[in-house]
Amino acid sequence: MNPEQKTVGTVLQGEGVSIALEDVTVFYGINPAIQNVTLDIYSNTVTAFIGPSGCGKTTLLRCINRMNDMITTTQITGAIRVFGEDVRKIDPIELRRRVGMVFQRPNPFPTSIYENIALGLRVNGFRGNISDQVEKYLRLVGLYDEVKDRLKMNALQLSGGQQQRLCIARTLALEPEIILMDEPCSSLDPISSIRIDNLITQLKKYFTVVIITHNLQQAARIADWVAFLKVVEAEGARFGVLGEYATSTDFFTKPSSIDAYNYINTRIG
Amino acid sequence: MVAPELPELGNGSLEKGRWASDHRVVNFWEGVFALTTAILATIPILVFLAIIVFMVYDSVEFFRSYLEEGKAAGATIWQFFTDREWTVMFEPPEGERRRIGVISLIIASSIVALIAVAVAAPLGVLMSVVVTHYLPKRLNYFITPVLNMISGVPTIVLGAFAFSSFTPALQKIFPQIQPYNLLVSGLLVGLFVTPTVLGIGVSAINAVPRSYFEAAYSLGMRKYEYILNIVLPTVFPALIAAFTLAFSRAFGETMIPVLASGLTPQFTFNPLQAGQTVASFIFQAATAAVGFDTLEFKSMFATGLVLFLLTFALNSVGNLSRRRFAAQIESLGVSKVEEGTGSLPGEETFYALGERMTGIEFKRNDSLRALGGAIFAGLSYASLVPTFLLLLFLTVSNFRQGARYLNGKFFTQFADPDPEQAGILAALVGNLWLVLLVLVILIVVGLGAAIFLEEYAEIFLFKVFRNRKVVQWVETLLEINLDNLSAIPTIIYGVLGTELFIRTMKMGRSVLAGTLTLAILALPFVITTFRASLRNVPATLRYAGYAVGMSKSQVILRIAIPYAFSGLTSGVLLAATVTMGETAALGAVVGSLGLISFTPFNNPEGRGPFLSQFVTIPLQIYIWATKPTTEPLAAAAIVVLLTILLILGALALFTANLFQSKTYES
Ligand SMILES: Nc1ncnc2c1ncn2[C@@H]1O[C@H](COP(=O)(O)OP(=O)(O)OP(=O)(O)O)[C@@H](O)[C@H]1O
Ligand SMILES: [Mg+2]
Repeated sequence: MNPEQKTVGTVLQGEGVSIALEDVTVFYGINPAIQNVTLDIYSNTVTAFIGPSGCGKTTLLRCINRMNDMITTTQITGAIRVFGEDVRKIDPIELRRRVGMVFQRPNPFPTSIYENIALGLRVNGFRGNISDQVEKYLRLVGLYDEVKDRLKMNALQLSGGQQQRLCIARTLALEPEIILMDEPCSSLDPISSIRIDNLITQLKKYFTVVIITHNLQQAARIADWVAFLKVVEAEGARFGVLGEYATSTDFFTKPSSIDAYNYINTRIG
Repeated sequence: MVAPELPELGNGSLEKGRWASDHRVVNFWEGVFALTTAILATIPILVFLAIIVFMVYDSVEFFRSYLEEGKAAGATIWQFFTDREWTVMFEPPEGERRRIGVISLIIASSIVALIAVAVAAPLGVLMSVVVTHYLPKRLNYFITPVLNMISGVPTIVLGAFAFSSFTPALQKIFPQIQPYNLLVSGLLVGLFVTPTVLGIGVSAINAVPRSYFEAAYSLGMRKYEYILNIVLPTVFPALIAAFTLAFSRAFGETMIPVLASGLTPQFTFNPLQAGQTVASFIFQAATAAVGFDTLEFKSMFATGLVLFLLTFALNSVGNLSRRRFAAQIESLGVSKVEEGTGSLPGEETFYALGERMTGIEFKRNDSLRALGGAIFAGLSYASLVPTFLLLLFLTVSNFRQGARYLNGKFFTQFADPDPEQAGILAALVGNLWLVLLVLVILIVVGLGAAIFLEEYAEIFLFKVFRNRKVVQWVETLLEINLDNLSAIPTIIYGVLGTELFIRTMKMGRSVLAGTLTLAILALPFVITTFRASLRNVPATLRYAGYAVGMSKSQVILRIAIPYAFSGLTSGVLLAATVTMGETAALGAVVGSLGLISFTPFNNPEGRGPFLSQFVTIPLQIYIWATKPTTEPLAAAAIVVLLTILLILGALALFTANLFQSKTYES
């Protein structure tokens, strides 16, 4: 990693709060998924959500851009603020342009590569030149040279790694302020995965990144902050709570709770 | 690994002003869109209500006129249930009354339906077994559509075949069979409804958890023992549901009994005799040249109500139990392996299998078992024969009979009393014109309603009822209602169309009335297939749309519909085949079938293509098939109709497969 990048990261760390979660609790029907999460996510940093399966990482992430609205059974209490605004007050359509999301499995639209990016631009009424914007962000994710001759090709014919980079480009092209990523590398081969890691570390120059990962090496490599969620059982229900929230270095070198310690060591060891 | 260099994004890149979309505008259109689909979705419900209201109202009218007419002869309402004969179509002599014993019609329908199920049940079940367990997968892609083809053959074609070829052939072997009889209707209706059993059977058998199969084989069962001892008992509830639905469908089948069993109502339990079924009576009353205010006309509502209630009850039972089975088998197949629950993988299915296994003793006799296997396999394969033979006979016999007329003249001439001068121009143009109009309506209304039901109904209902249980209940009710509506005998739609469009809205016996009747007839089926296509759109794809800031209607219009396009197209094509071949309902709309020697585009009254009278190929077949001199013309028209349907069907299959090969990697 080049040193200049690193200073950019540290200088900006803690400068502003992009996302503020305050006492967030989410229920699916009558089952709690996560309870009482309070957490500030800083601008221009990469924050990783880690924790055992089912602890509610995805649930928490999807609250931030209100994707949980889609599931009619969810009930969310507490406050979520993006750049100081309560997400419930922002129209979800506008919110989702400003808070982009990349999913676990690449999910390009079954149209051409070009259209995949252009579609989002069009529905949001992009004022600039669409094909320039498409090219710019395909370049940004390092896909342009690979596909520049076949922009009309169906995106489903790309490899998994290329599809995922296309999905990232699609998200970035909307120029969001925050990018949420739910295990973006879990279905990719190691090489594609590293490419995306490198991309993410560079992205924080312009964006705030929140990423879920089960891969602790990845978390250690790219994250500035780590939020560790753990599962607790109370009154017959199982749900996730925030176990620890620290800078990446602190978290991996001196975890303060035994749960975090165990989690790190079973994973790495 | 070189990191991609991050290009300068430039100043102003991250400004909000670069995004012109205004969420208030988007949300406004979102509301308009949702409201439109909601309005379209009420149409099937209105149709349902209209059926009930008209049937009940006009049935009351029927009884009123009956009581008035037969006052002197001591007419009471109860005679509807106590009379043995049904003589509604005959003017009674002075001082007497008509007989209105609907039971004679019901018995005839039941005989036909029972024979049909006796044919369809074993054939359908064995076919499902062959398709799922014996035939190689590749062959299935070809065989299953062919097996299903029989239910796509217009029943007028089967009826004509029954009367002109099948009965005469049977009479050579069993001379005591009447020229018109219930048996032949039953047999052909049976083959016609076999795909109903096949469809449900195959999906039920495919839902049997694979672990059963593995367990059974590991215990040394043979294939046929596994099928007989495990598969069939497991899917038994679904099969019963299938038989019920097949019975209901056979009970309401119209054109086959009309042509093969005659139009004289009789109180008889003898299937070798002629008899009139409920549906065939309705067809007779609807196509008889009688005034709207006559008892004869009104009688079709009373009988229609009987038919509607009986088939509706049967369909509800069938559809409910089919659903219950689907839910059960789903829970059987899933062995929960979530961490911490403590159950081993496959544990549940293992126990479930254990219950099934208790009855099986050790059979040592291996050669006997091998013989059993061979017999079972032979029987299963044999079940394919009748359908194939029938399809073959239909094609060959009609082609041979009609070949003489199948030339250019046939397509450019109008129907004519002189067979040598007759052609199907009017019927062909009328048919295509009608189908085109119907498809336009189906695409607009069907897609709108399907979108509402699939995408908005849940949220909408939740807003109204605020209770998840109630919402689920209402949704199930809606779905069952749709299933039921698509299984209602088509003649009922014909009766409804006559009353609603012709009598109430005064459209005349026109293209418009025919179009609307066919549209409401096919609508439930179309909505159901459209919904299935929309449901196939992967959720992750929709999420992707939302994540780039699309509104719900944008996700539907820009992502879901393009993705589901081939599925939707295939649904439209199937609807085209259904409406193209529909006879009974249109017969009712057209009423007394006369000679139409003009197309809707150049009708002599100058009424324009929407209000013109019309004829379609199936109706023309009916007209021709019922007169011995024109029977070869009917055969020629059948060849034309079957060719068109085959092309449409093949296209539907092709587009549906297009859909399957374009799977989304999720
Ligand atoms: N749509 C839903 N309806 C009901 N319960 C859900 C739904 N989605 C998730 N859950 C439940 O909420 C809890 C948290 O799920 P979530 O997907 O947020 O976990 P996760 O930490 O992302 O897990 P993983 O690491 O496996 O992705 C789980 O118990 C899960 O079963
Ligand atoms: Mg997750």
